[in-house]
Amino acid sequence: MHRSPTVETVLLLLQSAILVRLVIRVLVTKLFRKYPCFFGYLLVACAQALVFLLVPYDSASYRDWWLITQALLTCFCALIVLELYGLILSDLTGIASFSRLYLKISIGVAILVSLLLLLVEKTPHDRYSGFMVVDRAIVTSLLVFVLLLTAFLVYYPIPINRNLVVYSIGYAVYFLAKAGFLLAVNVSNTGYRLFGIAVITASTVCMLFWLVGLSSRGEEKTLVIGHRWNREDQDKVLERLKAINASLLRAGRQ
Amino acid sequence: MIGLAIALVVAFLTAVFIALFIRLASRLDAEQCTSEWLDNFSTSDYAPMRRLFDAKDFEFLASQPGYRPEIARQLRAERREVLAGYLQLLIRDFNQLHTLARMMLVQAAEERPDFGKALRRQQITFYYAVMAVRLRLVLMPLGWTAPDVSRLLEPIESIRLHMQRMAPHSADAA
Repeated sequence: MHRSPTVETVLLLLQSAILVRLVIRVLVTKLFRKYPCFFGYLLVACAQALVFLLVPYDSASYRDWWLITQALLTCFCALIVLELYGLILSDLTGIASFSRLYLKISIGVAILVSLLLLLVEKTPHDRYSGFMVVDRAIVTSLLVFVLLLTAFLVYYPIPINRNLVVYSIGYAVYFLAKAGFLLAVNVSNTGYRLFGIAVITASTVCMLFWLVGLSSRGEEKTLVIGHRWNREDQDKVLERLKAINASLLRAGRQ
Repeated sequence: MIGLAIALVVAFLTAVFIALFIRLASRLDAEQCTSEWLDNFSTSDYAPMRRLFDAKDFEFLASQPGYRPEIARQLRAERREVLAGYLQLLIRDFNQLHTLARMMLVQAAEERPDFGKALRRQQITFYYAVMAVRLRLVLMPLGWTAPDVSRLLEPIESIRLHMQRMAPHSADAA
């Protein structure tokens, strides 16, 4: 049987080990209930790693499996991002209309930016390069969307938990690496192997980051204050908000 | 060439993401979110700023024996420095007030689109006024007139007024 080249094999083995541990972590901490799409993504990534380790590297079925699993992973990426920001923006009564409007504008801008990049890409010559153009467009739009939503979170002090920040950083790194390399491949029509190594490396780094960063304690919803995440800080800020309101009411009566 | 352009875009986006995540992890300074600060804060502290380039001061100076135009030029230069210092303090206070207002908005029990819109509008108005004042400060030695600082204080007063109206709603939520 033909094996994949050494670098890819080593990376795949490393990724598989991290993936298995991450799946166990998500199961044990019961995070899969809150983040079903993320859990689905991990399962598909597990299946992809298994296929890559079993199917001969230079066979036609390897490429077909790559196409199928990669399409599924891209779909799950889109679902994960929607799941993530749905959770963040779900109970914002004070800025509900504006957050909805911002969401719509962000989606519009993200799609526009990703479509504009089609102008610099070469015309696909087969179904694989065609798929990579579509994949790049989706991943770029997700990247722009994550960027705009992070800016929104920086502007408004919306209560978010530590896990959501860890997820966001992971997605940003992964989408950035994947979109950059996909665009480079689609523009030059070369470097497919380098692209493969880069994407596996980026996803492995992200999974390692999620493995280290995600925990059940990270689910405690709190304001993010000065690099610390805990309930005490949130209570302190809410106490101060009450005092500020009292102060404003006093000033209003004067 | 295109490869280099892609690499530059990726590097730029990486820098933007790093900056955003650092800001996200430290976007509120709990020590500064105090009612004491709000109690002590007043735009009247900035009243002397309005009089820095009052024509009467310069007329009085010109009427004094031994007056030379260089003395007035020196005074203007010193007052430009004072105004630049006031501007720094004002920007810090505006940002503090704006952060408190955004916090109230996010924690509100009911939707207040008017308040949100006013906050965004006042932020743009304030920074536009800051830019205009800074430009005037740079151009003053070339003969431009003194900046109108009252426009700097209007957005602050407006935000404070909105916050007072908002307080009962926000107090219920908190």
